[in-house]
Amino acid sequence: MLKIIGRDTSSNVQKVLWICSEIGLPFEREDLGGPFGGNDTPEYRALNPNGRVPTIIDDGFVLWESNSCIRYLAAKHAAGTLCPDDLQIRANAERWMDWQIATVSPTLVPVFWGMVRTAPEDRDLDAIESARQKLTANIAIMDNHLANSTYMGGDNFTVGDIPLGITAYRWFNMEIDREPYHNVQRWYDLLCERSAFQEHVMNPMA
Amino acid sequence: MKIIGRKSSSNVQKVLWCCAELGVAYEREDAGREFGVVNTDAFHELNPNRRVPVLIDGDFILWESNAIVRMISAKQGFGSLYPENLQERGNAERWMDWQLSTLGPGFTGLFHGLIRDKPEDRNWDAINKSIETTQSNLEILDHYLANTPFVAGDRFTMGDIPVGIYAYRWLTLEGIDRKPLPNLERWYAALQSRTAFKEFVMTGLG
Repeated sequence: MLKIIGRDTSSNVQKVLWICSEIGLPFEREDLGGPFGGNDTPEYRALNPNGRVPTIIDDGFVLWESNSCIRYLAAKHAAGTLCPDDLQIRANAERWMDWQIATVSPTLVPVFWGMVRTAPEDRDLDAIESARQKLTANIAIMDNHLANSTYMGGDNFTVGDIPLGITAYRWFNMEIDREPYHNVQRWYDLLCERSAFQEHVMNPMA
Repeated sequence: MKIIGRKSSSNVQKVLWCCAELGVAYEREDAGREFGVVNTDAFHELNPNRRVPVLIDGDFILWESNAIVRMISAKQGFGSLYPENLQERGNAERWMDWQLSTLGPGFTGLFHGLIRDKPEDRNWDAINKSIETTQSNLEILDHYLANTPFVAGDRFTMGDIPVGIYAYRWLTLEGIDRKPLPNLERWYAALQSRTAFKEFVMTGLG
């Protein structure tokens, strides 16, 4: 059975949990990271020298980097659906995964840490607001794209919706000012109807 | 097929190197940094994220350099640069994501500080922190390369491209104290024997 190592409050672990539920793939999960620690043990570093979660072990094959993990699982178990066969559609979906790592995450992390993982009296409100404005500019890019596209990768739900879907959950549920973005809202409402999203993403943030 | 972006950009170089490996023909148009263009409305229509490179293939437009490399590889290098075996492909993609998530962000401080800032403007705390982070990141890759000729296994794949460009930059920069990385240097020597790498990556730092 597929093994997933990492705490289920991690956005990167949630990507893998979400796709497993979409596919109907059984897995066992082991807590690690955050309050559970364990990132620096020699045993874990032997599996994942980068020390982050998640790491997956699939029949002896060890993989880490969450977006690579979900592309691997989609290609193996959901070719033609979550992993589109058409190369242009696949690339379009995957572009939004890379963009989540390269561009969106650095703007979300300071807001999330400030608002969710920092006590109110310790918050650096100027730094949070500055990051929130940059995050908002990225949400606006998504909104513009979603004006002409049902999902991030086109007409169907694909692997390309997963990383930014988790970003959207955090965006809509942090106690921050939010400008209205109707296309993002419409797409997010579609995600909220998915039982896998409800089960693994729509949970209290920690 | 058209590629938009200055050839000194590491992200553009990924695409140029990939095309040269596969013998893919294209025309290139300068944009970014000294060439400007990225702030025009016309460029914003192509890429609302305002970065280079952008790929235009008929009416298909794609940005995010790693997504472009994966798509060209899947289309023109299936079974070679884009491994058919899903575990080998997962390994290749993992090091592409790791460049986006970890190696690239850690490297920015030293590259901008030493190459783009005037000596009197250099922030040495940021530069030294970035050197330390990059050394430690490349030790992860070095350790991994102890057991494999290339990042995904026995042969060169798309997975070697993003990290290969950073290896060139790290090993070419003057004035930094580098600790030896014997496995990484062996792998880098193998990259240096590739004409596509010499032509598009080993072109100086700017």
